[in-house]
Amino acid sequence: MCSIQEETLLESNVKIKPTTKNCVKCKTAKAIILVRHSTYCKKCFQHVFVGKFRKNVEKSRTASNFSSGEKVMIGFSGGTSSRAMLQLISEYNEAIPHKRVYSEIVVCHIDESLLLNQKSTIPQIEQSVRKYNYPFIGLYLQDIYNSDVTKNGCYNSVIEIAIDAKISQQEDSTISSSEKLLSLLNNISKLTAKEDFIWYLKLCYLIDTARKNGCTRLFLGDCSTRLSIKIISLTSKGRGFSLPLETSSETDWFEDVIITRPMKDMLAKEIGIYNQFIGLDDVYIQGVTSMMHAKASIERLTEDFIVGLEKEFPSTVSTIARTGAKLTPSDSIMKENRCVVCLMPYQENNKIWQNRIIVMTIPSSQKSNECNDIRLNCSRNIALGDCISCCDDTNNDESMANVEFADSLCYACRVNIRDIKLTDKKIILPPYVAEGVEERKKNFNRKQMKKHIEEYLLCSEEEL
Amino acid sequence: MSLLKIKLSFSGGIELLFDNIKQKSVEISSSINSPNPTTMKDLISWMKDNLLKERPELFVSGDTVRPGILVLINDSDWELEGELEYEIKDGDDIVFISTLHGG
Repeated sequence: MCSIQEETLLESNVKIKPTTKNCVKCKTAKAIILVRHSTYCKKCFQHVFVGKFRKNVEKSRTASNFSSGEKVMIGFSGGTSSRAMLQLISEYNEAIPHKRVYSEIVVCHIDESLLLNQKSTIPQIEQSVRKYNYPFIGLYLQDIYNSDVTKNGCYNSVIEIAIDAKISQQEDSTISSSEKLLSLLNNISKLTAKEDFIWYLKLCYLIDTARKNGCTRLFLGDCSTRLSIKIISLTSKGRGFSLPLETSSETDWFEDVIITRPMKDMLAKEIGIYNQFIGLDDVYIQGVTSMMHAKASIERLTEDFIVGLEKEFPSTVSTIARTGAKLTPSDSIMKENRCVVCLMPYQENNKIWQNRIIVMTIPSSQKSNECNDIRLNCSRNIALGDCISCCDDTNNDESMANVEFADSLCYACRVNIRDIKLTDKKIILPPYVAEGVEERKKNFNRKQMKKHIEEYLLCSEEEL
Repeated sequence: MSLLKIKLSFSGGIELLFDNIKQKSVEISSSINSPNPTTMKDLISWMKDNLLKERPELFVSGDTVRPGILVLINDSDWELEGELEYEIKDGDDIVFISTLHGG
């Protein structure tokens, strides 16, 4: 008896500290990857990796009404995650050639090289997308100033951020869209606000492009590492209200374009290794905070913090991501309360509570504060003319003035706009912003008008 | 003392710190820190002194690589190969991949 016990003890000792760790899945092959606390061999790792992706895509498919033949768009930055996503979506869709899940896949890339004064990333991206034979759309971020990047399709007016309240009647067409974008972004004093602006401009451009191309779904490549960074940084930036929409695996906030994040369960490490194994060439795209120190922006600092923690505590990312996934959008979210810049929902009357809780000027200094003097003008031209005049007919000028640009912003975007330095150069926001303000004005006026004429309205039959 | 021939690869943006070169073959002493054999720890500090072109804080943190940078030794996760203690052999293929957004 005694000798047998000793033998088992010896055996278990050997098992605790094996010289070569085996894969936890197949238990035979030598493990080569450590993902959190599990070790995998190459084959099992790829199997598990692809499985996670499929599970997410299948889930979103069963949730949607489209049984087959959906036209989708891939938001493709060219980075590690979106590169892997393109490969996975293509494999998934071509698995059964006669029964494709997506009737058409469009790959869309937004070039932001202008901001860093570098050469365009489009040729390089196009090269790596070419072998998939999918239609490729390469856009330049500055083209968001084009009048066709609006719901209307040819909306020309813009909102100008200026000190004086003068309305400039004519739209200056001599300024190129590149100059407009640069003058907006270069005058944002803080990198956090700048990064934020760039991201929402890109998102709005992607949504608009997806819509115009008839795509009902937009795939974004946020991995779980990225999402957990986003959860923390969005909270710090005051975007908690829209956070559940911005980090969820799927959202229909943009109504006709559903955003899906099929990479949400993969760690950045897994994606990096997967790409290396199957030889995917990613294109490195520099951002505004690339090569900068960790304190350059909130986003950067959060990344440093989370990635650093993850190294010591390998469950950090998954804990944050899973906790974040439990968040559901607030019941008070209303479709019409959409921030005109980031298109995300804002809290009703957020301006009032913001004024209540935040000290924006030092009470002792009577010197006029720049931020307070910012007036937002809407310079409009003929295209706008008709809707303005129809509003005028109702004699509601006063109520129209009540709907200001600043009222149509979410808390975080208002904070960002405050970071814009005013110079003699014209700083203007893209036309889609002006269109959003106009739309809100119309809605507001309609409500006002309804109130005015309510007593004269004939009762409907049911009430009689 | 002999020389070890190893292949270094960089991707995910980390190549920017190394003169924008994606692959490089180097020869290093088999015992940089003699009499001990050369380990990953020695290699990282050697790279920092000899190859790194700018901003060392974006590559190293203490005596190891910055969190968020993956290291593969012959296609195998270095966390399973003993990390800094791994003894480098002739012909090793070492890949550095940055998974960080900020490069």
